[in-house]
Amino acid sequence: MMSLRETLRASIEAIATHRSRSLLTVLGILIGIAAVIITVGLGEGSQAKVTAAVSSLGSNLLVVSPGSSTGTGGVRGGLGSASTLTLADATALASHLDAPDISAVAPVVQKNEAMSAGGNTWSAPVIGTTPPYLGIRSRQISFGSFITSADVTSANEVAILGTEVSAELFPGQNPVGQTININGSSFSVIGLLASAGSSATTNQDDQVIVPITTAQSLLVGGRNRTSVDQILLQAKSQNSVSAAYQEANALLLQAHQITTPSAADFTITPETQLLTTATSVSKTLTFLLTGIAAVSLLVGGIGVMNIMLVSVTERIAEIGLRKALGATPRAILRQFLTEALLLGLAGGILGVVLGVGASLIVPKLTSNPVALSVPAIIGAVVVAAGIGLTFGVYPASRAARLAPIDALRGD
Amino acid sequence: MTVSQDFPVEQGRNGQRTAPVIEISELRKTYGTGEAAVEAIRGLDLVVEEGEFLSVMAPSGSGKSTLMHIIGCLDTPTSGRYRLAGRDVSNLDETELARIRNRYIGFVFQQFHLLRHLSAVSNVELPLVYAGVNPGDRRVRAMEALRRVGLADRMHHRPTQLSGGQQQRVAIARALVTDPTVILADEPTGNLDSASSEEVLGWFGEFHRAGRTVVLITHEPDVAKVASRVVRMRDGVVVGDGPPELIFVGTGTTFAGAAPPAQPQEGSEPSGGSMGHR
Ligand SMILES: Nc1ncnc2c1ncn2[C@@H]1O[C@H](COP(=O)(O)OP(=O)(O)OP(=O)(O)O)[C@@H](O)[C@H]1O
Ligand SMILES: [Mg+2]
Repeated sequence: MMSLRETLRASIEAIATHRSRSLLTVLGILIGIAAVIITVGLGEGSQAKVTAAVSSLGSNLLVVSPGSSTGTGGVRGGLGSASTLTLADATALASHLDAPDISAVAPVVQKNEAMSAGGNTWSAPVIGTTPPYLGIRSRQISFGSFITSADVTSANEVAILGTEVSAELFPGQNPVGQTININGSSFSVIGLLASAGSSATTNQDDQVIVPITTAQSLLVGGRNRTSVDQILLQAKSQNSVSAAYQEANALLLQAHQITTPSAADFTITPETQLLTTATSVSKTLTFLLTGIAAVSLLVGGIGVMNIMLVSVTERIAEIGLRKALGATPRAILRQFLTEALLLGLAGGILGVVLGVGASLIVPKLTSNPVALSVPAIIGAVVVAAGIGLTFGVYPASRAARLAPIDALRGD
Repeated sequence: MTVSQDFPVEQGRNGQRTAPVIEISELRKTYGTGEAAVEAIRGLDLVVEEGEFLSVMAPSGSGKSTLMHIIGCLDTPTSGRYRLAGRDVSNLDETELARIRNRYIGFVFQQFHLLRHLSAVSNVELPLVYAGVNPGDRRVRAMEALRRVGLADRMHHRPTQLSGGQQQRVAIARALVTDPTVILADEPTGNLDSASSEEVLGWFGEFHRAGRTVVLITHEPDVAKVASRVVRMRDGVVVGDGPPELIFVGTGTTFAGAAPPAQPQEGSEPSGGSMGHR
């Protein structure tokens, strides 16, 4: 009986003897595995990106915007015209009695402003809001502190800078304790936001945050001084999002004295809806790409079978001789199966090398992130070996069944 | 790994005489069926005792290779009985036949049949691989076999780096290395020049003197006569059997002395009229 080591040795010898043919054999599997790694990586990378982007906006979030989304012209109102949302609305929504499922409320006004400090000038969105904003948006302060209720009450001229604004106005310095000029007013910098990166739509590091009252009085002049651009609501939990939605809707309809819900002058958008849509899109993408990769692996497997059949035909004399010298049908079967397995494995490993290499290059050429997961890579190699083995069964059993005299004659 | 454990050699009643190495009776081999059937061997009897040096000689197409395949357990007979070293091997399956080939037969082929991608010593090791001998012992035994055929300095050469005669000597070393019961050679000099042929045949004589059983198959009387016993075959049956002096009596390389044994001549039509018919 031939030991496993002997079988392995004979198989490696055979593969090494026919190097170029072996390489051709594994090409299909190699490309298939590389494709699997890149496509799955792209899919997972974009899914991770979407999830991160959405969750960085805040969890359990509801966004109240002025204007109706059901109206004929799409979203009405908004920047430039007087908003239908006011600070009073925000105060009403913050009532734990009337809206028990809403845990935090942050009204927001926002405007792009020119700003300067020392000799440096910059332009960035200035966000006027209240202390809960930090928690709702899942932001962190890396230096100093955030605005307080007292800042809001007395409309203090204080500002918190995003990292990019800080880098532009105070390159290489800690901005906390310094002064910046926004639209002719001086603000003292009391905090620096930790970097949050870019979401799908906005650069969250290129922002300045000030108390909403200060923003209303100093920056958004000409507009109704109590109106706000958005009200951010945080539901108590994932499960209470729809309850929070109902409560906010009822409260605002009442506050705006609207009796027919379809005539609402505001829109409430649950953030989860955004998340679900986004992840389901990227899931579909991953699924599709994986399907394509699977088909290419199947084609690779058929390639292995074809070339192994050629190899069996070409090596009829060798098979016959081995049989004459005492190789049992099983020993021949094992030898060819081992060869097929090793070819699959080699294709898988080369494919992983190619796939990982491409995964490192792709993000540099495009903006798509590629996620590499070790289990996926191990899985790909195992699948490749399995494909080699599966598609090697037919050629191997053909070789094992060859009659020794027919095999010896063929030369 | 001793032979006697799983392959009992028949002993005579008195325990002295071993059974013949090869014992064939009423052997028939038919290729194909129906109209296309070709009967290559038609009722052949042959007994070869241990230590004999036998050559089977016949013109082309008379069934030599067919007989060799059956003796070598590469093929099974259509009917009849074949006992190898006392064991009936006429009806074994592929796996059992493979094991018997490995342990009892050392093949030498006309086309050498060496694996091109292996060195001489690795080629000689092959039968030991299938016998389950460990790599260390294998190498030692293969080197010893190569040394015996005078190729100690060519161990690591590939077949393509060796002359035809050297290749056939590697093949002979491969046949020897398992210490087989029978060395079976089918036209071993068919692809060699006369000097190499003489050398190769010399080796067979050497093995015979060392007590081995050698069966040499050939169509050349010059080759056949190196054996101590010559069996002549024609159309699938034995038509002469004896020492070469008797078979080739007085006539060099012709077959004059090896007239077919008494055969009913009535069967063959003297007039050429029936030649076109089957
Ligand atoms: N596989 C086969 N199928 C059909 N007929 C065969 C087969 N092998 C051999 N034969 C026939 O059997 C007969 C004997 O063939 P065999 O090869 O044994 O002759 P041989 O004596 O070895 O001839 P040579 O000296 O030419 O090698 C021939 O008529 C041949 O055509
Ligand atoms: Mg022949």
